[in-house]
Amino acid sequence: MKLFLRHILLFGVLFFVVEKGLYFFIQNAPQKEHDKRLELILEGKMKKDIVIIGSSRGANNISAKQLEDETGMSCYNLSYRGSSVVFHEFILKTLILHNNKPKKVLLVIDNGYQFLKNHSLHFRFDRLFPLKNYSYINDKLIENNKKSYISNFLYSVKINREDFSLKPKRVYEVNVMTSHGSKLLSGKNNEKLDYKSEIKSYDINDEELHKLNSFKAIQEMCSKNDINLYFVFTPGLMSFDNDFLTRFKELVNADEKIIVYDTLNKRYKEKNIYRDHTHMFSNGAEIFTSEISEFINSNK
Amino acid sequence: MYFNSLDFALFLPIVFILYWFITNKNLKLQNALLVVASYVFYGWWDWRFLSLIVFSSLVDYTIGFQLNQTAQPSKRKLLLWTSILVNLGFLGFFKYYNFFVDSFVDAFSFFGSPIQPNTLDIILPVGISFYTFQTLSYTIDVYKRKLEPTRDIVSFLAFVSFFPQLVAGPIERATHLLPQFYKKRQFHYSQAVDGCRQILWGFFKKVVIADNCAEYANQIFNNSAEHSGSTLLMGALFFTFQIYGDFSGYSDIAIGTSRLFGFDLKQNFAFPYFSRDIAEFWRRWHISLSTWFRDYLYIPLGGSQGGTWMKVRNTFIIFLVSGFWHGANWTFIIWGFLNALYFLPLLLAKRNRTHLNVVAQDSKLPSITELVQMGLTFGLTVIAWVFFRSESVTHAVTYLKGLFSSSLLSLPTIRPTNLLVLILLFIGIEWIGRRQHYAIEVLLLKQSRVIRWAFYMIIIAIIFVFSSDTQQEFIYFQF
Repeated sequence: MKLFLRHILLFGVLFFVVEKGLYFFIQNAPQKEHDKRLELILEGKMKKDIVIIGSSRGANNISAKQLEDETGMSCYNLSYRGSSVVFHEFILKTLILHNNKPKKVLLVIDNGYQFLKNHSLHFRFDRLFPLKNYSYINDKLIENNKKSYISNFLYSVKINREDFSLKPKRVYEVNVMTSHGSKLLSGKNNEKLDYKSEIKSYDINDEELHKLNSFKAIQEMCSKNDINLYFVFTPGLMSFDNDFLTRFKELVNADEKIIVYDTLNKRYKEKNIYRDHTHMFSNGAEIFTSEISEFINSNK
Repeated sequence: MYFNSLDFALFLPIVFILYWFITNKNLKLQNALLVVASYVFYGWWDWRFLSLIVFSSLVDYTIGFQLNQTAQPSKRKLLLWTSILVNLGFLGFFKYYNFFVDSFVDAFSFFGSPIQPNTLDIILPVGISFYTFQTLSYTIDVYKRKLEPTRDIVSFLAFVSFFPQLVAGPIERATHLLPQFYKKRQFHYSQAVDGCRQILWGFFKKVVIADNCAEYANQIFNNSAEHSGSTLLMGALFFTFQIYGDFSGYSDIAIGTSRLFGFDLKQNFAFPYFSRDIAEFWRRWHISLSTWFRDYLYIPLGGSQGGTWMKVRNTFIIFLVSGFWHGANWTFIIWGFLNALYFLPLLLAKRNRTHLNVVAQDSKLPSITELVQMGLTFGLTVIAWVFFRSESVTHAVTYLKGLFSSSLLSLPTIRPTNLLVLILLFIGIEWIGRRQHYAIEVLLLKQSRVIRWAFYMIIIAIIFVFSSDTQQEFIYFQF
């Protein structure tokens, strides 16, 4: 028995020491990423007056650089494709925790889907995995059962399969980022793209409580930290969902502002500014960003 | 509690220390510890269902005792049927009630008389199919006077609930496992190390092979209409390795854990995918269940003693019941039926016991004939697994239609290179170790400790690295 226990212990200690060699791959993981925004946040390098938070509608439809030029306030886009409001809450919380508070937050709303169960909007854990060497991130992964508690002690538990590749990650065209975090799209529109006039009626019973809670948490965070919160509805080649807006207004506090694109502007009905029904090319983003700048300048 | 959880990683050493250091001087105390540990292990999942195990154990303990007290055949038969009805009653209620109600509703609707279903929201207690068969084997053996009933209730409770094999087998016979609780266990270094090795290999099969195959099998099966024939083939292959890695991995962990406590459990899988025909496959797949059905159903039905018709009938009964045992769904029954069909030509040609030895027993590689035989058997098994995995019979038929379409020759859209390399590595190691109880039983044993330990460390590192983001349940927990 003694021999068995001695061998088990020795084996365990040796494994503990040897597996530390995996640190090389873990610390190398962030360098392979094209999108370094979360790392900048964690490093406390995101000192901006205005931040844009949202899903791909925020990333593609708003130019942070243009907004900065037009408002005279420093600006950065922290919108992530396919991200849900729960992820947006995480981004804002992390930003406030590690950086100077922004003055204004533009929260881009996924009109009609923001609080519903929607398989295309997730908590973007894939953005967290390369940064697991930050204990703050690893704790978040553990909290969400994406990593085991043992990852605090063993690198072999902390590491991911992709970490073994030393090549920089491949970047798809839609994910190429500008210097201010926006992902402005270029290219030809789809000829078959048509104006969508039918909108599915909004059912409040389909809303998910945890998404509503995250939304509320964002409001509270902004209120507590004296941040002006703006909700942004970006244009789409479709009818505007008024049902959702009515519901949304019930959730908004008096000091918060809603920016809805100019629904009477005919340019928003031209299909050549759209890549698809909800994402605009850079020429469309330029028009819409000007609208936001105007709104911010008039509310300074 | 799952084997692949942090809870179990803490539970096992605690029980191990209490077992060998605190209670080792007193056999009764040691058995009592195993009962408590087993109930904690089971109750971790849902403590309410502990009452079922306790009740089932007490019923069979009492009946076994009563069987010994009476020589009157009618009374003995009554006692036996009481045990069968109580045990199968629980199983039938929890596992099959809704299936029967739904099937009746469908049948009446088909004949134009729709009726309102009255199904219940029933949770299936984990492992009920396994411990029910284990405890039934005790009563039947006592009835047949193959086994003396036990007077030691603690040993009996420990036999029914022994935590390593409680929820997914191997289904142990009372004649084999129960006497091990009567004798004082000795700690043997070689047995414990062997147990650790088998646990390690079990985790590799479960975490690396099964869980990673599950990711792609689910992706393909859940959207089967969207995939080409070649991708559907990949999906079927991934599930084939998933179910093997999952279930045989569990068995390896169970057997290895038992060895740490000085117990010997029966081998449950013997490299079934290297079988040369379906009969051999069924001698190598889920051995404890196949032999249970052979001894307690096939032989009492007359086995192969009667004429051809009786043999065929009994074979179909065994396979259909085996399919039904896996779950209350027509897919499992069709899966059983399909296997019976595969078996039939061998039975009729009296070739069902042709391959009793290990493939390529005396050589490193199989012959061309063996390779073709293994390929054919494997292919038939893969087709049957499609029924096992599908949501419904219609889904399985559509899946197979899609698989055998012209797009079977196209390049699959889902082909994870890392996983395919791992599966090939896995098949290689299994092939090398096919003469043993588990693949790495003697692998590298002649090498120096440095090499052996380095190999085990690499296996552990691969297990950690390849472990999926989320913990996957063992498939056989649902049975």
